[in-house]
Amino acid sequence: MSYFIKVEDSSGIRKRVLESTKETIMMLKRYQLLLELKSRKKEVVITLKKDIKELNLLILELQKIVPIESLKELQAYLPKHKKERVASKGKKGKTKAKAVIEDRELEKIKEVKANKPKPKQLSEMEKLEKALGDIDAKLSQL
Amino acid sequence: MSQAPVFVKIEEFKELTRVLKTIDSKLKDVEKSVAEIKSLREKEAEQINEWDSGIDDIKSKLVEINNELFQ
Repeated sequence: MSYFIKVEDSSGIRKRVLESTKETIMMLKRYQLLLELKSRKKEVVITLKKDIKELNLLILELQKIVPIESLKELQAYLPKHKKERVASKGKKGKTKAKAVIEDRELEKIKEVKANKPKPKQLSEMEKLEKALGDIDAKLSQL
Repeated sequence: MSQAPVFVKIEEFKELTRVLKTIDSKLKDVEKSVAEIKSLREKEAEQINEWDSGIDDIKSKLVEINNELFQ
């Protein structure tokens, strides 16, 4: 024997079920649109990355053409004896003993540097951070 | 930093203008891409908001059906 329960306002319920189904289908449609938007965004981001890389290269090219006149770079262009003179300026007025101690310290530092393991390859992020640091240093000199 | 005048070879100057022009056009491309990404993000946000309201709509309809069936 089967029992039945009377459903009041069956057409209203049916209507709501259909409306919910319609809304769910619309959500699925929106999901498809969202996927399309995401894939388009991905494409644009790839293009943007490529453009930014090219821009970086162009800026490097620009840096090669435009003279850079930081003190260090200028010193590199100076003849050797002038460089030495610049370096020895700081040592003026020091006693011989002090100079010997400084030389020993320099040797120690050199040894420590030689024993240091070579730095591992920088990640992309670290490279960018280093580049930013260099640019900041150059900007602060201006 | 010295304030001495800087001179650039004419060939290098030509190269400089070429590079600057290319940089300018690249920057325009980048600007376009960024604008497109911005608009895509806005559209995405719009879609997600519509999802949100759609879910609320379905929820309220289910509550109504529940009430009518089990009251």
